[in-house]
Amino acid sequence: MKDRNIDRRTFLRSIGALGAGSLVAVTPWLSHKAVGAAIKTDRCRIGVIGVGSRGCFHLSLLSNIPAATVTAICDTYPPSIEEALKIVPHAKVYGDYRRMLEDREVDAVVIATPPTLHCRITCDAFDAGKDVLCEKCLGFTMDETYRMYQAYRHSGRIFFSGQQRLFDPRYRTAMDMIHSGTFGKIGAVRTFWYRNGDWRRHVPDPSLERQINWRLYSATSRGLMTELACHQLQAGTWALQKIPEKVMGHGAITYWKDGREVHDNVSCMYIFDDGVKMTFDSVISNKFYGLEEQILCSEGTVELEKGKYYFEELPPAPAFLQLLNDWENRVFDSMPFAGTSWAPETAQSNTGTFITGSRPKGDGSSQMLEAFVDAVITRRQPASVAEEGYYASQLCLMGDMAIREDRVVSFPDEYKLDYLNHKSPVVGNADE
Amino acid sequence: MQMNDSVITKRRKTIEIYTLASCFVVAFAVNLYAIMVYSAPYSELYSSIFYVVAFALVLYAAWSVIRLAVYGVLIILKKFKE
Repeated sequence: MKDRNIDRRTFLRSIGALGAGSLVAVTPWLSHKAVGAAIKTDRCRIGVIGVGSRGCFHLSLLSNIPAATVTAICDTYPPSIEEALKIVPHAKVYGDYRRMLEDREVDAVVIATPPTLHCRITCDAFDAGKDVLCEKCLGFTMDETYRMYQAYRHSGRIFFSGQQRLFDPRYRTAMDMIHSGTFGKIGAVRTFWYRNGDWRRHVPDPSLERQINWRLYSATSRGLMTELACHQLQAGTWALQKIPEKVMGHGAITYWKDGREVHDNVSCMYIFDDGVKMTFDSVISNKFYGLEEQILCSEGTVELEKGKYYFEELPPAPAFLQLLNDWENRVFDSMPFAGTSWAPETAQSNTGTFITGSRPKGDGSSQMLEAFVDAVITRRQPASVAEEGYYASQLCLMGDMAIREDRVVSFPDEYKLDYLNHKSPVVGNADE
Repeated sequence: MQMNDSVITKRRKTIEIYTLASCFVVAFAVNLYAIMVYSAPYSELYSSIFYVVAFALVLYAAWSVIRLAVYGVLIILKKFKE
């Protein structure tokens, strides 16, 4: 116990004491500023395709990045354009993304459209020589996701997916601790995302229902699996450093019976080659437990959303308190009318320790966009970013397939990459 | 209603200070004993000082209650004899 504490402290001290140079090694988004790489240009001109709620969120973050300029926006819904122009008033406005891709003043695009459009826009963007940050879930089908990855590989462009937790210092520090064995062996990963809301957006005209509330309809959305599970499953595979073999699951509409077509209540269980399991649960009629990714290890537990870790064995209480507690137990134990149930419990509450030393702020979105801008400027694709996004999307789609087809789905060989425990059956499909 | 001045004598102050100091010494000794019994690090002599102070105050309060009770009984007995 002591040794482990010392290791942990040493580790945390080393994290805290990292100088700018060593920080670059673990924070690729700083490479442009710190390394002074072969920089093609010192500014990144970005076009944002799809400026709904998520797109506008990206716009607000991009407007705070000095090296980024949003030169164009694209959407087909006028109210979204109006909102976006409040953030980037000088951006050119497009109604057709293909016209934007022809714009020479756009180096890179951020795609925040419904997922049915991701594949087509991403592949066209690579063809047009643009770098791409595409929101999750990458494709609407496993085949689309695979084609997007192949388009990236053949283009030589920068490719990010909207897996912002990859860039969150809290997650990166936690993963370093997990991978170094601080918490022992991972036995299970539990993830859940609970909300209490109908997930609907205001629709000014009934004819716009499917355009605005696209998340609720199966033609344009896979529901909770693609909208929420992507982040959490990626955290689980990141911790385990492997991809699961198969998935089983179930979904239903149990509460919001309002004409929607996607489930409001889903559960999936992913099984790895060594029997370790990763679960994802989501219910949107109760929010008591919120969201969390719990990494359950033999010597500790990590709760990534809370940004905390908990060791299984706590250091003992001060001797003085132990003595008082023992005296108290003896007194109550000796009372014939009371019995042992009067003896106070001696267990300590395990309140955990913040991974980064303080309550987490943000979710990594701003760091992700900074990293993307940096990668576009330096022409350096950060290792694993595209592959982590690829597998996060594929696992969500596999889970959705298992739910819809009511069967156990194994990871199809034809969609495997040379990544972690996977081996691609296709020669030349290697990344690592 | 007329309020009278209360006088705390030098002897009373001395007794109370010695009593409180004695309680602190007892509490400190209990902590030392606990450290030895539970094989805890001796740094707890300092790190647990707030527990020790709190325990000393509890002892002092308990001792005060006992003394008040005894004085009360003695006064009642004295009046009874008179």
